[in-house]
Amino acid sequence: MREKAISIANLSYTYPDGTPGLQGICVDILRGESVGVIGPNGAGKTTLLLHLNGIFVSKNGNVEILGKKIGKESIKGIRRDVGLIFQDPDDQLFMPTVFDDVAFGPINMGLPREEVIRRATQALRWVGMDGYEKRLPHHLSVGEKKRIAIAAVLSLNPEILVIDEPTSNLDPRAKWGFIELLRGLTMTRIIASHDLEMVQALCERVIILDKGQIVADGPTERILVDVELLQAHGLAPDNQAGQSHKQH
Amino acid sequence: MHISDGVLSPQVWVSGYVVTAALTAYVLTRKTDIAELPKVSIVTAALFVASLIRIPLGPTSVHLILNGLAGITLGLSAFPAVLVALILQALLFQHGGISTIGINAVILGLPALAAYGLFAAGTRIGIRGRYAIFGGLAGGTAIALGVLFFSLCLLTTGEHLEDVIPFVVVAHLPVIAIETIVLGALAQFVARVSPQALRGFRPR
Amino acid sequence: MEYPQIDRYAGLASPIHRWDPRAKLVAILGLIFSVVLITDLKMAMVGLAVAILLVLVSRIPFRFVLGHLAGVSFFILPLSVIILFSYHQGDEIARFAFLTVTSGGLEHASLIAVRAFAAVILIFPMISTVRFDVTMKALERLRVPVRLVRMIMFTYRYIFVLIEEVQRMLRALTSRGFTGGMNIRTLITTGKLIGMLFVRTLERAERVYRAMLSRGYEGNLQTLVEFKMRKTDLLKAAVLIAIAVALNVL
Repeated sequence: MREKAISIANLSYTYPDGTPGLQGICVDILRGESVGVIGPNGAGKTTLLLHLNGIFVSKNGNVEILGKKIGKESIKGIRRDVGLIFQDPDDQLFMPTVFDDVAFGPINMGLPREEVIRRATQALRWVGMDGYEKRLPHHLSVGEKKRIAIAAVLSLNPEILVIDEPTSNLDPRAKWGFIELLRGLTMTRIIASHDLEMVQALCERVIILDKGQIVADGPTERILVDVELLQAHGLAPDNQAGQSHKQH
Repeated sequence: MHISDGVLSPQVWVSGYVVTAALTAYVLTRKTDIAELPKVSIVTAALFVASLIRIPLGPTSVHLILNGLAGITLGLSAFPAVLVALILQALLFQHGGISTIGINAVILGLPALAAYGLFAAGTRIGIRGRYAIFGGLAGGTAIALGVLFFSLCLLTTGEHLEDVIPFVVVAHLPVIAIETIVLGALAQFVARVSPQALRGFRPR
Repeated sequence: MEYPQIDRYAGLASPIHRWDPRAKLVAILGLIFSVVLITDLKMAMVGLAVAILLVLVSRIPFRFVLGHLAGVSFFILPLSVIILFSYHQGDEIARFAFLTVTSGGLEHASLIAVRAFAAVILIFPMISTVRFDVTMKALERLRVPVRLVRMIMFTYRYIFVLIEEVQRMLRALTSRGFTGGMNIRTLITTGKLIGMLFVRTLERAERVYRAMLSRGYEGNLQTLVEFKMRKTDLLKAAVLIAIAVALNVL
């Protein structure tokens, strides 16, 4: 059996204002798996992702990453192992230039200058954005920003990629180009989205999250054809299945 | 409301730098942690952008100043926020005033701190509409105090600028009214849709 | 709402563009402080001439500079006019109805205006000849307190993001019939709009901070930059500093 990349045992989370975010989440994700997490708005997808590299740390749940429990001592290593990519690339590209952004992670790891430059250059090449080093984020298209957001995480050489809504706000061409890019990455991937078309193209396994609970977990080819299941959780229109929802 | 280069005597603008440096150093090193620095900066960007909005006034239009809003939303960090906004304004938009960055930060930043105090104290009183009332008061007071400090600078600088003061005061009367209404509406709105936002990240 | 575009001519080639940004900042800042200290009108004129000369050398189009002087003119011109009519010293040289202009008043008003314009014009060779992100890194290298430079850096980055956001909000308002006339309703709507911007910005600030944490942020915001100071950089700085001193000593 393959090694576990992520192991979550009975994770619950309540927002500071008292509303429940996650309830009793139990899930194991194996190394090299590509898992789609789908669910309606407010299902808790982003909240779940934020637990995967210790931005949120729950007191009652155990989240283990590559066999290590998330805690004070392990957090630094875990943030290096788990690359988290946010929905809005403007939230993630906070440095003055593309290069500064992609180099931010490696610099924080304390890598020597040459290694920082090597990793940043390589990460930009992986996402097809080499030559953009000196560009300014506000001069880039959404698609370019999304690619650079990926590079900014790849420069940390993560074992696990966690991506929130990778295709939102992309036009079809940018979207399929982006899907090709993600397909080319071989590490463990967790992708949260309601773009079922993309999930189908990229994931072998799908988890449905609704109201903070896992309501389904299985192979993509089984889940995404279960029209009744999708309809019950607001993932398919009531009369017609298989169409992805356009969302903003 | 800000003073460009070449107008004030060195005594005045140098004092401005001294006060600004001391206050900024105090707030940024003693009252700001690593989590707050990026957040305060992003809110500063919002204040900067909001101050680019033009409000029609007679045949012309005016920019909002919003130093009161800086106080309400950022507390003590309003002072470095005002300073950063002024630096960017001087460098990016050439509103003039490299030598006067310090004194301008005092003119706008101290009233921002006063607005913070006024708003924080006032909204503790349990009356209806307290956010609108004290938001408006904080906004208007911040401008009025700014005009006062501005006038004091012109008065003490000894470059025969006393006669300018009445013009400055009159020109800013509508601005006081505008900022009072805008900030009153703003504070009430934010208190309704996101009450915790008004407790934002005022440093301890 | 205008985007900051002060560095749009940073890509030109000129001796000022090639100048090390640190030396350039120090030297031109020195010149600016020197200009505001001048008390003699003729020397102030020389300062203004130096400022214009530096713009010419930098090849920045002069109409770009003029276009950016509106802000300072708005403050300086009325101020000079008031001084012109209110400050009386020396011979009377003109009279309009009940207003008189004296030679002393004219000189003082001119001195203030010339100093102000010279100082503002000097910002262009200093800031417009280099990309602003490089200017910020140069400031850091010049030991400007690092927390202040960080604040400037983040604020600058998010100004662009938030201008877009405000433009979207304004468009949405306009499409729902908001005209922005001169009335209380406009002010209240503007207040709510800025309130909404503020609430969204707080949420964004939280998300940005999470993104920073997840890439290992612990307070360190270093960037890799390489500046190289050559002899010519120092020479250019020396010349300008000498001019700065001369403007006040001669």
